[in-house]
Amino acid sequence: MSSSGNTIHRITCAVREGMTGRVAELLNELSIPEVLIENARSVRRRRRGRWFGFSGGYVEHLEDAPIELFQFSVLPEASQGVMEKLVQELAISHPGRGTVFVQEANEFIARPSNPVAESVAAPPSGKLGFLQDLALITCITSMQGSGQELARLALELGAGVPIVTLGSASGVRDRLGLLRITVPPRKELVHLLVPELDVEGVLRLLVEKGRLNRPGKGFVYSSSVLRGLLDTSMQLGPQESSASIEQMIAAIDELKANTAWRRRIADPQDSIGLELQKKCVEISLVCPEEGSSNYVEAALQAGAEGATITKVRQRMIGQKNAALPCERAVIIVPRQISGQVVDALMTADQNGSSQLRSLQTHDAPMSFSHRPRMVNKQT
Amino acid sequence: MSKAKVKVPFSAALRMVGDYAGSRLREQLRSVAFIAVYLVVFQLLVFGSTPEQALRVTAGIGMVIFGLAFFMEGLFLGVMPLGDRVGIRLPARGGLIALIPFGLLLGVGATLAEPAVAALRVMGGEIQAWETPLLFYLLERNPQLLILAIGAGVGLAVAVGLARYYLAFSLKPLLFTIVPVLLLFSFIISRLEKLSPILGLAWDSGAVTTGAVTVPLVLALGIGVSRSLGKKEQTGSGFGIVTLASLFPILGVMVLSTSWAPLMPAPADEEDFFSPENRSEVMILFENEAHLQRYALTHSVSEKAREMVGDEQLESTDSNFMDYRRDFPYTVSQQAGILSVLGEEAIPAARSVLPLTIFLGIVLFLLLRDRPRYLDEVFLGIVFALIGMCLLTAGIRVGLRPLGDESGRRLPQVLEEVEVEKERIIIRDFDPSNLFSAFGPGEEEREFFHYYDGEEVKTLKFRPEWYEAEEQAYVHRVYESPLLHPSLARIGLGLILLFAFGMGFGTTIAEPAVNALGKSVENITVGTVRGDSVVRAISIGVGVGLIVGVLRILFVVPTIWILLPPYIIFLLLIALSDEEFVGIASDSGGVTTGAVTVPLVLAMGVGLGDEIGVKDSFGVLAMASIYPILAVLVFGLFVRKRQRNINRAAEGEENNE
Repeated sequence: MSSSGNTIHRITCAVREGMTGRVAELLNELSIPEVLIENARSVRRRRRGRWFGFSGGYVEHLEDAPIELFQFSVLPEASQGVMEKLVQELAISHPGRGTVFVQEANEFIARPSNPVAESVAAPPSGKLGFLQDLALITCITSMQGSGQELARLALELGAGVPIVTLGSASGVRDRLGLLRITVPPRKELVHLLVPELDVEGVLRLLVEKGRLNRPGKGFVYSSSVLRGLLDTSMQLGPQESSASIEQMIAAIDELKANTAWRRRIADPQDSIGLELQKKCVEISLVCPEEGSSNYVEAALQAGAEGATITKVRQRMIGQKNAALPCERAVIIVPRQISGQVVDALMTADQNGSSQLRSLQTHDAPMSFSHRPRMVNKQT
Repeated sequence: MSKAKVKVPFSAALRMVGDYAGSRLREQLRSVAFIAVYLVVFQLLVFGSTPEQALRVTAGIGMVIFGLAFFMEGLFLGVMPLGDRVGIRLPARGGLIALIPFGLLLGVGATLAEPAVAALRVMGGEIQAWETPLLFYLLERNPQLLILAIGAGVGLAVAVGLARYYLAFSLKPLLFTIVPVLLLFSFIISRLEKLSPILGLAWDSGAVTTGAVTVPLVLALGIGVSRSLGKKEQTGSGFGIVTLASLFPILGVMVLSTSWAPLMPAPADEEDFFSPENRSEVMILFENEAHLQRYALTHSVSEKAREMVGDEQLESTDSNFMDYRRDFPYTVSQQAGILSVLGEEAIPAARSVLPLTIFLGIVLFLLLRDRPRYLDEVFLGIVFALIGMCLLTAGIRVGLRPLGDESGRRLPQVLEEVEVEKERIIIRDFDPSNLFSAFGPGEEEREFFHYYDGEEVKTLKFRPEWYEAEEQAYVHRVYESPLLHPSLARIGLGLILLFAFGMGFGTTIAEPAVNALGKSVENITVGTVRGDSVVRAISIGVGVGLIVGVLRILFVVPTIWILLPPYIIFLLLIALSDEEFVGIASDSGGVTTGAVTVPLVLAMGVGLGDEIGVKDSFGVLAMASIYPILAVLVFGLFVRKRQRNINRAAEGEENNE
């Protein structure tokens, strides 16, 4: 590895559409230089009494609402302060207001506006308790509508409100020649915050129930989260007690400062004989729209298996309404080749027109995809 | 870029292609199923007849399904990525200076490549030069002028639409300006005798301009430009150009008509029109004297008028005699072989697909020096679009249109209260001595004769009053009894309206441009607004629009009175809606009148108009364009309300139900 990058904290904040103006203002106040914005949807369950109270039961269905994801990087020492400010100003600790979490990553591109060069000042108060032992599970599926199915599954597991985004696959598909048109490029990405202890179990369940262990259905990986607050308002509709289950969960979460007590899956041992690949690295790069294909190709030649591309907008500080259309490519590679892939990407950037706006690596402790030869024996 | 190719074994490749083709065909089968089953059921149940040539119709429907599958895939692989790419690159490279001429050229080019005048002519029906000289001039004498006016409108619309993203102004104020101007203009026109007939033409031109290829292309282009400029908050997400492309041509046609009106002779009755004193004035409507004479001889029913133009010898077997009645692609259900229909449709299909895509290709490759991410895919997509368009239009001609035509023609029968004469058979050299008698229970003796129609021998009742002794001919009359019992005629009206609704709903569900819009909406809203729901809302809107249009034909309502109410509601609704849904909704008006809807709706409208004896069927298309807008706006209000509820409920503010 030629360069090791700089450690930064990557903060992701999901709020509903109507609050986005406020978030933008807040980020300006905090002088966050660059923010990536992505459209997404949240999925919740709604319980409704049957018509005319028939049989006294409830019907349940999924309801989704548009949300926006804001993602930006700050220096590690600033992250606590920024998170606290976000939570206080947006009242995220109240269930249903949104989700916020921070992950540690390495940034390889040093541009003047990257936080590597600039420090963000917001003194931490230490008053707010964030949940500590969380992990982010990202599930990338290629079947239309299966994003919704996985979201339902996630809601049943009761971890938090799943966030669904859209993306497209690049990689193996590009190497099929014209035959690639038979593989739909559209992917649905389901993002889910779960207690770290549950990761393996949830992962296995998602693979099993989402049938990700069949060829071409997609893949799933987990990445570590330092701290976060999750949206526990998973169920809408009539409540029977004075405090909703969600409020109680949120309260206990806060008391314990973790979610381990909510562990649902006792024994994550191989119930269905899946071999999860351990110790991976998530490489994510951001470049101007339609510019990712050269980088993805470089990564593929360096040994990566494929990439998932999402469309995001990058908003600079001070610009309230204009945003640069960008693409983010996420590539999951085993740790031992991550260095060479990053090097290949940096070389491609120097040979090209230096379009990379960000290149980050981040630990992905577990991943699974149906590719028999990817199964790693050296765990 | 050198890409290592992955070798896929042939059998696996075959399976992949099979799965892919199968899923696309199933999708289209579902979208066509409704209209096909609906038309057949209507024929079987209401008219009690089986469709003529069931095999041909089935083949046609099969072609429509394949055509739609190819065409949609062509849109998604080729046409839309091309538009998107140009949309992303153009503002960055050329700015406003590039956007405006590009928009103008694209709009004018699209109109010239795919002129919709044929459809307008059909809606115009039998235009008599003396009754509506201006309409005659625009549709028959100088349609190029009309096409240019429409083209200028579309060009201006695309240019303004693109500039809107650049300058970041919202669609709402634009609509709040244009629509009232159009309505006021229309109201004034409706009060003027010379101009009022063009009102229907103007509003229908707005609806037909936006072709099956143009709409998805412009949609993708707008989304690309909007994204590349990144001003989502003010301008919505790239919708709104299509609606401008329906509104500006209306203005174009009205301006053209107003400025040409002083040159036109005033509407007059036939005899005044052809009288020598007025000759110099009416000559603007004809190429030369001979043309005028021909026209008078073929159209005028007044002997005096014919005499006034003189020159009887023309009335021989002039082969140009009927040339004004070129068989419009929509009215005649030809019995040509399926292959020859395919051949005929290949040229219009190429005209609608190639010029536009080639224009965008030139802009992208030569001016922007860029290429789509998957060049081969784009090429394949364009080929798919071509094949699809050809199969689709041919399939509609062979399969769906005859069905729609038959129903359209037979439909007015449900309104009839007495039996009507259907045909006359003239039997020459009739010999009354061959009659024979038959007896019935308690009845007097009656006379019958045998009639051989070439296939079988029939026994017919003899009526002395039908026998013409001088010519030794017997004229047998075949009567058709009313479809419904006289007391049920009022239900007949309901049946017609039901038919119109189903026709609109069913054809719109299958309309490729509508589905392309639905998919775009779903992608942009990350699935929070489902494409299927948008398609359904649009289809219901078109159904309602057709009901209004048919009512207008049946009860001959002045055009202005069917235009004002929906457009006023439209203005109210956009005041309530947010920018994004205003864009989505108003674009749904332009997408509805495409490759599937127009021919079928025309067949129905014209069939109905013909039977009832109404002069023109204008207004049906305009209605099929505004009501879906209203439907989507209402749908949007519901979606937003639901989303607000979800947010409130999520925060626990919702009262227990």
